[in-house]
Amino acid sequence: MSDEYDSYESDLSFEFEEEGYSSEETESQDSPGSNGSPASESTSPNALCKLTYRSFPMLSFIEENFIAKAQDLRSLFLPDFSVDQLLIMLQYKNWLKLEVLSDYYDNWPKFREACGLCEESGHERFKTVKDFMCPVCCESGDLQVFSLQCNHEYCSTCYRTYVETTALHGAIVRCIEPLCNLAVLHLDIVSLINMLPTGVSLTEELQKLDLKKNDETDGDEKEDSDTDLLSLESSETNRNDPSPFHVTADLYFDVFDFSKTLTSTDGLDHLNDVNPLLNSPALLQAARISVDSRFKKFSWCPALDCPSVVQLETFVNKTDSNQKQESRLSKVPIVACFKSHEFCFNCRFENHLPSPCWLAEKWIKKCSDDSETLNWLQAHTQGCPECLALIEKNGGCNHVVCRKCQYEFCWICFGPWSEHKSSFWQCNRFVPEEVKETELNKSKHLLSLSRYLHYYQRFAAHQISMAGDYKTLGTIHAHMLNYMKYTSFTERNSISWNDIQYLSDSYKGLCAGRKTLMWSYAFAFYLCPNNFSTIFESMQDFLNDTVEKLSQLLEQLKLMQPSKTLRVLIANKREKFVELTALVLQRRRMLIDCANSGIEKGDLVFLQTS
Amino acid sequence: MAALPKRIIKETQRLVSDPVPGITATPSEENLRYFQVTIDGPSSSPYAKGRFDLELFLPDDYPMCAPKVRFLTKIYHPNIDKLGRICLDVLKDNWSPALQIRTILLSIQALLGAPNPDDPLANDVAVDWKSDEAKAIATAKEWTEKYAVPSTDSS
Repeated sequence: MSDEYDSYESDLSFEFEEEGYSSEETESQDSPGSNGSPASESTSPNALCKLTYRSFPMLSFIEENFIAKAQDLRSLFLPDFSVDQLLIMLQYKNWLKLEVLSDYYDNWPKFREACGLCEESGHERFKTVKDFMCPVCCESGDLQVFSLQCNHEYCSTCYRTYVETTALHGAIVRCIEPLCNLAVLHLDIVSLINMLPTGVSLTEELQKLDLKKNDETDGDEKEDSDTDLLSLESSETNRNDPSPFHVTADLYFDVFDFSKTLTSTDGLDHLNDVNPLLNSPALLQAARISVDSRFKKFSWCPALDCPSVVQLETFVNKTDSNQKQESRLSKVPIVACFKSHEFCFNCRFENHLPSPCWLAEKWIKKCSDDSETLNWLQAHTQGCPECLALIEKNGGCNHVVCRKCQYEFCWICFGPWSEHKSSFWQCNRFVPEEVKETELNKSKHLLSLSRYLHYYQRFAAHQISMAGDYKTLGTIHAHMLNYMKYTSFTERNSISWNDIQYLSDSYKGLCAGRKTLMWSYAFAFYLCPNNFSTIFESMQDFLNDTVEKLSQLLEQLKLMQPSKTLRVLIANKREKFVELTALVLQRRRMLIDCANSGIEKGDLVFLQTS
Repeated sequence: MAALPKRIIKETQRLVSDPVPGITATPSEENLRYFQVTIDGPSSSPYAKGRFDLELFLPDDYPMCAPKVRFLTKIYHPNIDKLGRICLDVLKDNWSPALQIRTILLSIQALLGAPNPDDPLANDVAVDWKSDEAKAIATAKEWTEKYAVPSTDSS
């Protein structure tokens, strides 16, 4: 335990150094928001792993890490500036308060120039100019133009498109004029984005905005239980979206949407209303980059459309592929986002217990081997040496900057670019060992194919079943809704959501069970057959059996027609559901414990295949 | 295809009516977003007397994103690779919608006059350039002679 703590400390200080943090600042900055955001410390769902973390929505991240910093600077040091201006300074200095202060006191005119700020002079940003020809779109007439204090005027429609496009880069948005450095403040960005295009009536636009807002917040808050499952269809079409968490994550996480129906208080509403800055796409993108580039401490929830961020309070040593395989399950840093999607902080992938991380990673790679997409990725992309994001080189120099973590490296040797200043060509060396190794791996893969298929089919079966369970639940939910709507008119004596809360719990239990089963097949695939692996397999059977019983029970509910008797039936089934769910969870825990102790004692041994 | 934006029409008109010295840009008849471009090598550079063919394409979101430009004529230059791709800041991060086709082509012409082997695209060329600049310039002249001087190019 003690050396664990040490490594945590040392790595943390390393990170601060890298980011120019003083530990003092981080402590004051990264403390939980005072706005009551759901960011209290949690402990890992992996009972074997001692880990604390916080989880909160993306917008809280912006408030805490960006806006709060600017407000701090304003109230403590630089009261002459607006929060908006301070945001630009912070953004320019990579959100480091101390750096802003030091540059400010060092040479303010130079710093101001670099940030692109200028004196606030009551400049009218939007105005209508007679007979104006916009240099960008070449439209002319009496146009509404936008300009900063520099008076470089462009029609507001072009400015809006420009801001929308540039905001995606996550850098400070500057005046369109090529050599003008003036920054477009975030509030200006927001007013440009919310601007009414000429010729569109106000009501029309408001409706659109409303729709858009609904769209955006779709995944965030569905207080209305009515809308939730009705939008099931639309969320399913989203599944085609490419997710970096290829194999199973998308299915799995979609499924959990049901829990929102019954337990949803995100506290996002008030955030959206309070601070218009939070609508700035540039700030949103800056937040994305900020989270991505501090990936040792922060992670997105990998669930589809889930806007939550998890921040580790305990340091997790990312297992290096060069290091010895870490098989202890106590080292699997499972966290749950505030929407209770469980995932592994190490792999940024769904909860893969009882498989250790290296195994899960191997398995995922293996499963994707067959897909053309992966073939393509392997042929055309390379992982960023720092954050492993896949990068396709689309032309341009070999000096590559990772979009995600901003790491600069050489495309040819994958070493840091900083070492390439004067000797960029020396990395062109041929390493025959690497080539041999990959060839060997390929032939081994062929040998184990049939064995692999056996386990994969079982793995995939549960994955598909999970989607099936989800559909079943959707049908039941719809029945319930109809029934409740109907009874609320006719009688007082209807069931309340509280009465069927257990269904949601059962469903979560069912998913958790299936998920663990899936990964136990991956686990078994890499296991050396011996007496202990047989024991493991029989525990697998137990869990499998219970899971199927629970699934069947759910299936039975689906077949019921909504009627007065439904309530009675639901009440009768309740006990059975609760009992089976508890059993699933218990057997799941036993399976994981069995795997864990087997690994720790050395009874379960992994095959040395690739 | 959607109607051509006014901006492209205006730029095209101006390119034809008021051409930049040493640069021609002619839109293709089938696709008005596709231009055949020639750039004359700057007189003080190893590319002098050469006339280089390029292609230029205006993507759908032009002018919000930069035009795509590529050399068609072989050229020995540290910032242009053998596929003709160009490493130039204004074609990437430093693009601004206020820039135009003509300004971009002028930048490319300027790049011919001032190769930058410290930020190379064609590594092998950059190596030569840094180790023996005189020889590299000689090769560049030779290539220009061979591929870009109009009389031999006409074949």
